[in-house]
Amino acid sequence: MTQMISPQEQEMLSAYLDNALTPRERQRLETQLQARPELRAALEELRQTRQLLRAAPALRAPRNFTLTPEMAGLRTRPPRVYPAFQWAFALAMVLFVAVLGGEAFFGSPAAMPAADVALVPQAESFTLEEAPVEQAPMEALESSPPYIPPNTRNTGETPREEETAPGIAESGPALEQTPTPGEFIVAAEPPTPTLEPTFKSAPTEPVEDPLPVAEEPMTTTMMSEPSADQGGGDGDTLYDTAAPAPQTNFWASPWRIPQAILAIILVLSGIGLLVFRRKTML
Amino acid sequence: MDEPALIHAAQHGDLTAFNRLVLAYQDIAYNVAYRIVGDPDSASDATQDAFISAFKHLSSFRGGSFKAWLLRIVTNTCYDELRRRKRRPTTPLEPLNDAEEEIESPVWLKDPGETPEERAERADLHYAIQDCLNGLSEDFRTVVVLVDIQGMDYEEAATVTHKPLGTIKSRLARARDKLRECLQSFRELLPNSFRLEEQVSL
Repeated sequence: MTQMISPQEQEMLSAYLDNALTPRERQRLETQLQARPELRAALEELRQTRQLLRAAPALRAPRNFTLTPEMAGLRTRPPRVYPAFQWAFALAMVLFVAVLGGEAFFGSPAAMPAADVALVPQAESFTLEEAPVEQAPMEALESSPPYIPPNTRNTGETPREEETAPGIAESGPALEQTPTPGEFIVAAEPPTPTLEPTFKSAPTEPVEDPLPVAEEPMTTTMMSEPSADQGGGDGDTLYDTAAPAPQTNFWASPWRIPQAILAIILVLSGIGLLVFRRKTML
Repeated sequence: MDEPALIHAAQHGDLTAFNRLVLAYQDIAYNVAYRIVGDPDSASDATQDAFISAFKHLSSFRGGSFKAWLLRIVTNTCYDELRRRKRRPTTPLEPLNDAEEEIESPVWLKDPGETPEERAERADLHYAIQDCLNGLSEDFRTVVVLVDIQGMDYEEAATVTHKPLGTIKSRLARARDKLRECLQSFRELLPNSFRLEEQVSL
């Protein structure tokens, strides 16, 4: 029955089902349908087929097909400053190693001042031995009971005291004659004994006189431990520099500043690289 | 869903906006892919590849029907999948379950809300339709899937396939005729409602 249907008629029937014919084509086909039962049968079979297809269940996606950034090719590119961080890190690393190597190879210029400072106590001990009279009051003050804690804390060097022992012994009589506690009390009683009068009086008084000489260091040590002194300038500078010597030597080295700068650059550029790398990985 | 706004945002690289479009169209895309390639795994692969390709070529979308533009990519991806399958026919005739046993047809597991009888009936219908669709050539299959299964009109199908309306008409008629012949062999499996409707209509 349907074998008699031509492909053109089959196409017309198909389009007729979809209302895709022009009014003229539609009218002509309907006329033929009334006249030809095989054409009606073919149309009905086609309608059944179309119904079956349209009744097919719509499938749902078995999973979500949303895209990840990797799937979409959206790997976040590192920012343009990323190479700058890389270069900064690499350059800072090279320079840092070079500076460290340079310090190790050429030696630290800071070693010299450190050595000088290390030698100062010995030199001071020699001066003490050579001029026991001038340094005697100072040593006497150090050896006097009320002043031992601060001065020994500053010097912190027991050998020096052993070395100065002979000096003290030489000036023993003078020291013993000086009423050290009394002087201490007298010097402490004035509420604000300024340094100026002491400095003014110091040069005028004879060096051999232990009494005024003894007063001067007492007042200075009473007012402020490390500050200016007159006669025993060498001794005070020794006390000032000897205590913080290790830290001062470390940072006084000219290698430290570039090392610190390079270390900071290394840390900052490293952090920057890690941050950008993490963002890139995300 | 403001589709034009989402498309515009996605064209500027907004993956979140594009993923909202994916969620809106993934059922249609998968359905078309499944009807064309004929098995769920290949359909999933083709659907995923199609969405990836769509995102990468979103700048070529010049307006009009986004659905038609997307389904064109889906059908092209399905053709690629079919060609790949022909070159490497390693896919078993029936998919395997986790125990490496053949599943007669995964479509038997669809529509769990129906009664067993309805389910069996619809599964019969589903199987018959898919089997007959698989017997069509790719071009015919695509047109009949778009028009009769997805319910598109001729213009939309012409947009998806990039073919003129006359080609769509003729291909659809040929495809329906072939499907009619194919479904004759499954007539005993078809639901009674269709037979009754056939009797009434006759």
